[in-house]
Amino acid sequence: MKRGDRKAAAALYDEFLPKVYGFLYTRTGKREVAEDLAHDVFIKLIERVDGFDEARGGFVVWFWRMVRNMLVDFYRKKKEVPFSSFEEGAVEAMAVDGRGPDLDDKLRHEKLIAFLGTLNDGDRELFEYRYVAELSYAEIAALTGKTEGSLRVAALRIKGKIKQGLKDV
Amino acid sequence: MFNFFNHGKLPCGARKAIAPRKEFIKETRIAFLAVFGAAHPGARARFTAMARSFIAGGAIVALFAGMSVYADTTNVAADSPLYPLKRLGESVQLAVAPASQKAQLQATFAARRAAEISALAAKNPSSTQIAGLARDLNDDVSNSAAAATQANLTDGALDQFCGRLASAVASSSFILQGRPLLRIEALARFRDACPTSAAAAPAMDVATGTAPDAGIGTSASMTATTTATTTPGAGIPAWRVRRIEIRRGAGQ
Repeated sequence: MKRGDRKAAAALYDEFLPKVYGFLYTRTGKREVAEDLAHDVFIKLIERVDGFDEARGGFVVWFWRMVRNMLVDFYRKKKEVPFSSFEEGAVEAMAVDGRGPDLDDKLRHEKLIAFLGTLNDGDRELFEYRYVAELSYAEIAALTGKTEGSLRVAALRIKGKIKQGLKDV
Repeated sequence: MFNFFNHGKLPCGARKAIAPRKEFIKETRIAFLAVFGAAHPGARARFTAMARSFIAGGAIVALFAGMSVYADTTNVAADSPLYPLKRLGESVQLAVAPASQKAQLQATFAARRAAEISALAAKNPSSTQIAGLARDLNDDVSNSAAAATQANLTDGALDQFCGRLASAVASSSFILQGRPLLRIEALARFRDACPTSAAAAPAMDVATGTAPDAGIGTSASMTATTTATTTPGAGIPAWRVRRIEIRRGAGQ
């Protein structure tokens, strides 16, 4: 992508967009905000990719660090409250935009929202990085500054919550 | 239930609940790639130039290969514009052929040279190409015989090779400017490689020491005095008659 490879850029977009959007959606709780931010992330990626240095770490960590920083910047500017409940009408909107035409999807969405509400900030962050962004423990450790071991211990701690909270999802 | 900890992924339902809209994915993708293309204008141009070069190069190679195959399969004459491609194709065939096949190939090429000289001499006896073809013919006969000896061919393969080379030698037995087409050295090699065929081949009459050792002349004015055709009525090949005449002349 640094060399201007359009195919590589398209492949990267296809791979990362759903994860970035999902991550931003769970963080902001607002579809429009998540879409705007996700779009900005990829434009920013084009601007900054020349500054990526392989010798200083992997691309995935570099990329998600950029996503996290953009999210932090967003909250600084907008002063919105993160992890607020999902926007009103989100479930209804899903039903009409072709993603969730049936009742099951609505229920799944509500359950996911409810489950996220039960997690503390640390557990939520781990959940989002691990299962929404699909990062490895090593990548999460590089992003958060925590050790892989502590992340695995935390993951075990919330395992029961996840099993219970997303049992029927 | 889906095991999170084993797979590190969300269940389909949960993933679906936080998936982006299809329209959003489509629109953003187009915008992203447009911005990316604008940020790297040279990349596409470089790719296009490179692709063009590859396509042009490939087309040229394919064209030459096609013409070469055509020239080879139709066995074009020595004065054809495609003749160099035919020779190029032969060189490639010879280069890629296994060692055991090289002798057979060279014998085939020797027969071709002989036929080409015959055709060219009939059409244009003063052609400057004849001398070069004659040199190639002698080289092909010598080299094929040497290759056959070196490859130590089995009986069947040796018979096949000798039959092919004997045919080349026989059709090369006409005289140009009073000299036999094949040099003594080439005939001697043939005799070494294929003693049985050589004994049966009338061309060896010339190789018994009476033929000029300088081989064929290189003068542009050399002319064919006979061809490997059969004399009508007599049943004796014309080249054989010429051999007899030469021997008689040498004996006088």
